[in-house]
Amino acid sequence: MEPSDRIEQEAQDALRHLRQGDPQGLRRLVDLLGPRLFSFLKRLLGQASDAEDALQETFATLCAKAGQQNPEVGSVTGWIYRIARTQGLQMLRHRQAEGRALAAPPPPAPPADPEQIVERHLQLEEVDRALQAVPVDLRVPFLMRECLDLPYAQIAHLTDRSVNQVASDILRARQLLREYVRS
Amino acid sequence: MSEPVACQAFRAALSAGFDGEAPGSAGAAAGHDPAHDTACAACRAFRHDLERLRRPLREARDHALPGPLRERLRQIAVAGPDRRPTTTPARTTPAREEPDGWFAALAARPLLAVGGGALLLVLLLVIPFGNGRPAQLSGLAGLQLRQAQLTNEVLTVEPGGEATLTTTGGRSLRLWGGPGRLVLTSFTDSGVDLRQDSGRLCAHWTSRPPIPFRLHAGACRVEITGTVWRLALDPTGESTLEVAEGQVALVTPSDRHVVPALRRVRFSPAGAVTASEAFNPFDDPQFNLIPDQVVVNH
Repeated sequence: MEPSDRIEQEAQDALRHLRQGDPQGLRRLVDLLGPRLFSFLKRLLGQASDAEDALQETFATLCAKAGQQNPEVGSVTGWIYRIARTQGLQMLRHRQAEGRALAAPPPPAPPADPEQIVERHLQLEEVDRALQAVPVDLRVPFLMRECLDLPYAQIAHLTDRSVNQVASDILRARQLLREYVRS
Repeated sequence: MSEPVACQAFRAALSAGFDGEAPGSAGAAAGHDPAHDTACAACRAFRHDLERLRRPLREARDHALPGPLRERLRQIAVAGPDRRPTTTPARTTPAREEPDGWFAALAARPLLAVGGGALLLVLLLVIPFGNGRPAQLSGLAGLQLRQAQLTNEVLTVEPGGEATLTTTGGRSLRLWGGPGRLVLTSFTDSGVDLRQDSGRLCAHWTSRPPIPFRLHAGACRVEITGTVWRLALDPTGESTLEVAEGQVALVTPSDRHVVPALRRVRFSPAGAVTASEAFNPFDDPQFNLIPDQVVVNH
C-alpha cells in the first residue's frame, strides 16, 4: 500500500470516529496530518503564529463540517488539504487588509555563476525567506508538492488548474527560489 | 537572460521527474533529451540546486507539532462547534401557563389566597434583611477580594485585582484581568445573572452540575456553559468575547452564536457580530494557561 493510501485510510477512519462524537478522532487527525499541514501553512504564510491560527481554523472547520463529508465521494485528506489551503489564503488576505505584510526579501542579485555547483547545504530559514518572494499562485502548488507530498493530479484538482499548469508553476517556483538562494 | 530551448525542456522534465511525475506532464518538455546535462554544466547545477532546495523542506515537514499547538488543536474536539451542552435543565412546563394555573387555583380558594398573600408579604419584608445581603445575593457563601470591592450589588475589579465569589453549593466564580465592573443581579445555586456595562474582565466559572448563567452585555447576552472566558465591553465601540475553555453562547437581538473554546468574536453595540476568529489563550499572560493542565470539560 502506498503511504498516501495508508494516510487516506487512517484519515477516513479517524473522521468516522469524529463524526460519532469521539474526540479521539480529531486527535488522530491532528497527529496524522497536523505536522505536514503546519509545515505547509507556515511556509505559505511566512509566520508561525499565523500558521498556528490558520491550522486551528482548519481543524475547527473540519469539526464543524465533519458530518457533511462523504468519503465515498471524495478523499478525506483532499478535503482537509482544501480547507487548509482556503484558511491559509484567507489569512493572507486578512494580513494584506490589515497592512501586515511580511518584509519581502531583497531582489536577488544576479547569480555569480549559473554553472557553478554550490556544495553548501541550505538552511531551512534561507528557503523560508526565499519562499516569501515567490508569488502565492506559484507558492501554493510548490508547497503542496514539497510539504504535503501530493501528486500533480491532486494538486491540479485542489487548486483548479490543469496538470500541465501545475508542472509549469512548480518549475517556475523552483527557478525563483534558486535565484534567491544563489544570489 | 533566456535559456536555450534544450535547457528549458530539460529543466521542465527534470522538475517533473524530480517529483515522480512523467516528463510528459511537463507539457513542452515531452521531447527533451535525458542526457542533456552530461554536456550542459548550467543544467547540472540546476539539478544540484533542486536537491539542495528539497532537503530542508522535506526534513521539516514531519517535525512534530509544538506541544502547546497540539493541545490547542486537540481541544477543538472536546469544546468544538459540534459539542452541545447536554445537561441544561429542561423546562417541563411552559412558563406562560404557570400564572393561569396558580391564579385559577387561588381564585377557587379565597381563604387560601388571603393566607398566602399574608405569608408572601412577611417573606418579602423579612428575607432581604435576614443575612445583611440583598435578596439576589442570598446564595453568596464566600467572598474573597483583592484590589476589588463589592458595594451593594456592584462588584468592581481594579487592574491587577481579583475577586472570588462562592455559592452555598460550592460553585465559584473567579474574576480578574480588570479594570471592570459587574452588577450582580442574582448569584445563587439556582442561577446566576450578571451585567457588565463596560470594562474588561476575565472569568473562571466552576459549576457542577451546571446551572443557568447569564451575563448581560449591552444589547447582547452571554450564556455561560463553562468555563474560562474574557469579555471586554465597549458600549460605544467594538466589544470582544474570548473563550479559553469550555464554550459560551453570545445571544444577540437577532441570533445565537455558540462560541467554542479558542475562539474570539467581536460585536457591535447593536449586537451585530463583526468577526469570529481563532484565539490563542496560551500566549495570553492574563490567562496563564498551561496546555497540559487545561480542564476542558467542567
